[in-house]
Amino acid sequence: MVKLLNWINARFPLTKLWNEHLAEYYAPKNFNIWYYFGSLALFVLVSQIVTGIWLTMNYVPTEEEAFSSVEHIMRNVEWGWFIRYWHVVGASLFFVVVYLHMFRSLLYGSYKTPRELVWLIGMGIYVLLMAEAFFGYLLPWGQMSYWGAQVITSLLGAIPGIGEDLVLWIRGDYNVSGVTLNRFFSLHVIAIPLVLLGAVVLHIMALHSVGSNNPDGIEIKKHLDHSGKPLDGLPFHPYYTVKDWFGLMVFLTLFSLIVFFFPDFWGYFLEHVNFDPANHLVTPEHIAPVWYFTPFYAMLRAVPDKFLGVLVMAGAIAILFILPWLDKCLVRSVRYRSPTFKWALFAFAVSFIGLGVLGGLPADPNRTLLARIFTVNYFFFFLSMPFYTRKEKTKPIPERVTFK
Amino acid sequence: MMSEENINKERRNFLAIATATASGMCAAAASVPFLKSWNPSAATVAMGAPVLVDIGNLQVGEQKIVEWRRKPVWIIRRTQEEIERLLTANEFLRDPNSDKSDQPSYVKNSYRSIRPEILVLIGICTHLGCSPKYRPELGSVNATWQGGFFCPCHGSIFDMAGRVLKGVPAPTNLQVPPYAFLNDTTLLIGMTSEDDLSEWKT
Amino acid sequence: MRMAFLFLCIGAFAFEALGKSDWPIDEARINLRDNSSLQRGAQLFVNYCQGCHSAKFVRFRSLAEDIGIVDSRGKVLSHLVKENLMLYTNNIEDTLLSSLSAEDAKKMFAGVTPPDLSLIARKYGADWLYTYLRSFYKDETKSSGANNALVPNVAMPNVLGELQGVQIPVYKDVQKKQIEKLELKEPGKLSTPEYDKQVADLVNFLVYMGEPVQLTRRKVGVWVVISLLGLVLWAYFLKREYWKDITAHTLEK
Repeated sequence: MVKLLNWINARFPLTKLWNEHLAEYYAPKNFNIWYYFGSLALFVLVSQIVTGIWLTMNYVPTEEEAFSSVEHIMRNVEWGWFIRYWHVVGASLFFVVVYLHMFRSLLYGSYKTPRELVWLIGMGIYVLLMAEAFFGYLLPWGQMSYWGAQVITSLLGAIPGIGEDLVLWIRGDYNVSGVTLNRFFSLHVIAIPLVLLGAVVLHIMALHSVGSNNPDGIEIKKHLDHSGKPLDGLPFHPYYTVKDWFGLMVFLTLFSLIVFFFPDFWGYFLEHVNFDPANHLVTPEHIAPVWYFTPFYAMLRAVPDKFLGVLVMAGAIAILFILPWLDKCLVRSVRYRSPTFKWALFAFAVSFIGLGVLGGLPADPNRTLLARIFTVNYFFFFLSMPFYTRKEKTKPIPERVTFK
Repeated sequence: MMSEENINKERRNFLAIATATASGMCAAAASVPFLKSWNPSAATVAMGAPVLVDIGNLQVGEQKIVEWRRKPVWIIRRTQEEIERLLTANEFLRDPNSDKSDQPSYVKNSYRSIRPEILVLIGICTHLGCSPKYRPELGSVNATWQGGFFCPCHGSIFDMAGRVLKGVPAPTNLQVPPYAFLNDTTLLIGMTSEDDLSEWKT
Repeated sequence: MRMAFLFLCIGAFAFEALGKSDWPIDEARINLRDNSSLQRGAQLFVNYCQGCHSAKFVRFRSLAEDIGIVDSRGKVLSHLVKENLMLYTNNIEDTLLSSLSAEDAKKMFAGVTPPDLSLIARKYGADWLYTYLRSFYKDETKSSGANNALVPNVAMPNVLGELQGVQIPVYKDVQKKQIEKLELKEPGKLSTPEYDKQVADLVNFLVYMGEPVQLTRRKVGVWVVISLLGLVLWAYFLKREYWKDITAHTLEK
């Protein structure tokens, strides 16, 4: 075994990689529950790729066969239902995990110096994930798939001047059709996953080069032992591998509970209207995107102007990219930040969730008003940040990590 | 950094092995759906149901090719001479009594058929799966050709009962599918058991 | 924050409930494990629905296996399937296709093609279907002679009318045509409780067709979740064992 390892190491940095990323990667020892979601996201990515590969074995990306081939998978292919449900539930859980992962970053200031690139690459992953989910949602070719793609591609039409031509180009037909389905399929199964995987590798590389943040938001590299290891750090393997393994098992249990007992999750993961095959001529009574897009959808609807609506929606995502430069406070963790920030963050979370709930409901004047308030607050959180964080009254930060 | 002496290594190893084993077993179980999904689907099985063939107008010497389970099935009405020839010249055959070959028990005879004149074969060479050519004319493949089947891929040759000759790559005789005569002119090909046959007769 | 979320959700659902049609939805009492109910439902389906509607994703053979038209060895009793369920085909490998072509159907129902019913229960749910099938009433102004209280002006005729009898509406407000309730004017072949039970059987069958694998899914799920809970325990003990080091170290500090 040792000989084989030496043989490999002479030709490929196997032990070096193992040490850099696991055995000698020192992570702060005070990680709490929020720190499970990174490794869980990695797991969901892999499980989506595996189930996705298996789904393509029976899925047919044509206008005539797409809907039937999904039912073929659900009914005729042995265990096809399991693979399909796992992929469907996985898509939603991917967003659950990623949203929590991102919120962790907001809580503990993980986007701040020197982790701006970790955050930027992470935001890139989030955008890719949204693209991946959007393209994938057309594939079952149900009514909601069809009209969802119709609405979202129409957004591009709001761009002055080139809008209409752009929409035609994206769809490749005068309306969303089998042509669109084909290209979305191609993007969903090859292009985006490929870039996504690369981005995930970059995300981890960037993180491991600067080191993980922690709930106290302090630098563990400041206090080293006589051999130069951080006193408040632990080698990722075995400590965090066994811990993350436990987290994964709990996650898998919840995952399976949903897949086997509530696969459509009361219409949130698999929308009821989508059991109707796509019909070019009739729009369903109430269309709403899947839950993970509803916050942005609510913003879109809240703005009475088509182009401005699109701008607001795009801006809501774009503004997240510059977050590291909006937040001027030197203290990272919410634990030691001012009540102003705590309230702002709380109000932001309420607004985002509130928008999510509203986006899934049919619009009426009251809801539109509420959605507008939430939208304003969403942007207010970011745009006022340079002001209220510049001279923020923070608590003293500890020298060493704490356990809470 | 850590006090090594407090570590109960045995317990640690035991737990690591137990967790790894349990996880491995679950991973193996999780792979079952993925492996099983490659089996023929219910749609494929339905497509592979028995097929009915009308042989009322099948001429003497004529070959009819039907598809069953995506394979060519040949139905040939043999001439009297061909039938008689099957009873002689067994020394050139690798498996003259079809002992090592694959066929229903009711056709394990010299004609390899229920009725001597009607031959039913799966037209797939037992060597590597090509479909042999029907060459009933004497001397058509080589000078001593007695009529039979010739595989273009690797030159295997079979007689007019689909029995393989010695000295060719194919190991066994051509397969005979399960079949039955529902009446004088109707063949049922590919039923899987006696119960199926009774269903088709009604 | 959790409270805020909960509050928002409750508010959202309250809004949602108000937005729905005001015709009350009745609860369908169905049991997917009741094979005789499913078999009666299947028979109703082929006799009353399949004339116009297909269920093109459902196979007779799989159907027979699932709803128990099998002998003691689990083999499909195809003569029973043929006699009772296969009205438009002789091949048990076929799917439940209607005899009506899409073109003819469009002509018959004023441009509306009767939808495929394989997934109808997944779209509308059991209770909705159960209510819908019991809410037809006589309406001479419609070409089919019937209307529906749950789905006003529906194109579908009251195909189960001969079983249920003729219902007439009692109006809350005659001017606005607001229906308060439906009354049975002429009895059909069945009494109301019998009819309701038959509709429940039919809905049971529709729910089965929506996802034939659902019972298996839950059965497998129980084992999967139990095994995973075992894994959670092992992983927890392993994690605790390793993390003893850290607690000790922290105390040292």
